Amino acid sequence: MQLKLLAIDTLHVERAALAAEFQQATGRPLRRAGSLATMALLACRRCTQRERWPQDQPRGALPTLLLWHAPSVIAEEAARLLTMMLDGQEAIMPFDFLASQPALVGVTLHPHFPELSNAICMPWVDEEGREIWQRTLLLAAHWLAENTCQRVLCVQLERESSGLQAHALSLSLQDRGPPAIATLQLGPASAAGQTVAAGDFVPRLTRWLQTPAQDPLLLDGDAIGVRASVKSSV
Amino acid sequence: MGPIYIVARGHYTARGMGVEAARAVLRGETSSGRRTLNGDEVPYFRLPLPGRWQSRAQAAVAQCALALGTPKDLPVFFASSSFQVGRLEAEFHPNAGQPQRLDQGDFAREVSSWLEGRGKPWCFSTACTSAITALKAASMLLRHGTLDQALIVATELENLLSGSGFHSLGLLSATHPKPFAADRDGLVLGEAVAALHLTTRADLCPQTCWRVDACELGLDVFSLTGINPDGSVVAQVIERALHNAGIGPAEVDLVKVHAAGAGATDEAEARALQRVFGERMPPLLSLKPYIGHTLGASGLAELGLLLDCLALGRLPGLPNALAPDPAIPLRLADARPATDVRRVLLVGIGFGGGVGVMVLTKVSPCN
Repeated sequence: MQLKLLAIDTLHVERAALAAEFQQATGRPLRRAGSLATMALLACRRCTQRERWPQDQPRGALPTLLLWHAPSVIAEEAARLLTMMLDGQEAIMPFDFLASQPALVGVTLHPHFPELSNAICMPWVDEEGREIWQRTLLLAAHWLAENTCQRVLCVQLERESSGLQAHALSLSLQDRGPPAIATLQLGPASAAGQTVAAGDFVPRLTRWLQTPAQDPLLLDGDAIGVRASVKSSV
Repeated sequence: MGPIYIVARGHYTARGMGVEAARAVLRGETSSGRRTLNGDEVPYFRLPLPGRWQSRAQAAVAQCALALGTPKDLPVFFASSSFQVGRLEAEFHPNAGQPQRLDQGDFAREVSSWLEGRGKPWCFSTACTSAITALKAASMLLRHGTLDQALIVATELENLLSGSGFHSLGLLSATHPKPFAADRDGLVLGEAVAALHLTTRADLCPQTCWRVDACELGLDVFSLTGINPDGSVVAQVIERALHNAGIGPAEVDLVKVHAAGAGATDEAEARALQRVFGERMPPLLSLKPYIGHTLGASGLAELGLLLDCLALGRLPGLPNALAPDPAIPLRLADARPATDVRRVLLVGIGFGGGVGVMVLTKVSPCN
């Protein structure tokens, strides 16, 4: 199976700056959106803005599925509520509960990202990051093949010391739309190349894309006998 | 791309386990326990298991595994909306700092180890459609030949966080589930653990089993806590499921509705069903009066319970007479024989607008 990589991005935002970043990105103030949804939205918008649509082609609306994982961020939100509820003996406020729910990210994002057709949270456990990207890419490929969406955004959110980090990939199978910056081949690698551990996948891929044509990049992983190899950039 | 069969199923809810739970449902048993949330006492469908959270979770999973008779070493697709939050609440100590072991995937891996699954589990959390999402993901990999077997597991176990959250939003009933009824007053939550063994290998299947012909997902972005009152998105997902199953509305013998007794959502679902089925409405069944709304596990728990009722040759009727809502010109079916039910459609609607629809057909794979 082959995927077109349309764009890749890594975003770091200090917590204190989340609201301001949201306002700058959307032109509207942040209302009723927790840190999960806010960071996911910023990642989606910025990644899709990096797609290289031809200048003579208007940016089309591509029905988009968001596949996202954020184990540490989700854990932090839940921990905060538990502490509030059990230690402080406070009742949970409706907005706090809503903001902690991963399933609400889609409906929260949609007004600011209308191309979004669905959002699926996958709380992976994967200390080394070996299988996260293998599986995410495989699911993205299958969902695109079903033709219920034309773009899949794969987003990984992580907590940093003072803020949040998001890695994002924009993927498609379609011939129309922005050209690929690279091709992801899912399956047994047919050629030698540089192997990168999945936990370092997005940063390594970003650096690889910035370097002149070289050997394919291989995403190592043995989740289900599938390897993702990234062919030379277009 | 091969067909996908349900080899075995296990489910554990307030009515008990497997076929015994189905018998309890067919007897019309709807009793629930009570619990206190934010100072209010509300009904709650608790698993009939004593003990602390961890031992109850492990016992419920073990019972499901026994029912499955599942071979070891299967890839596990795990679904929940709350994971191990209840355990963390039980372990919480004031002034001890924030709870540890909160990574939701940790619990999925733990459950997978109890089932002797292979590798790290795939995890999905999309609120009330979590189990259907997990089944969808597994189905895609099965259909494309990446896997030939998969174990779908869903858990929803008691915790204050989910209950208090729903209560704070005014979504919980103070009485009992009243799907499509004029005086419906909200959800009654419940616990469940459920599992499903799927395969593309006909040689693993019993002589007669159920085939998953479609599993479709959608997102209704109308609001944070409710779907579009016109039911349009639910109708679209149902129509897509029927199309992908290669059938028309007239070929559906039974619809297991979501119908959790939530005010506007019940009405929206009814409109969706009317839009799809029109004058030829199949019999409609709701299982929430018997086991409550089991959130992330509901897709699998209700599927398993439904198939076990069908295996016993009967469908439950309404447990209590419900006052019809003039805005919902649909009626849930009365108790009836079910030997003629060959194709079922199951609807799930989630907090956050998630919609999941499945189409199952009864088949004899080796014929």
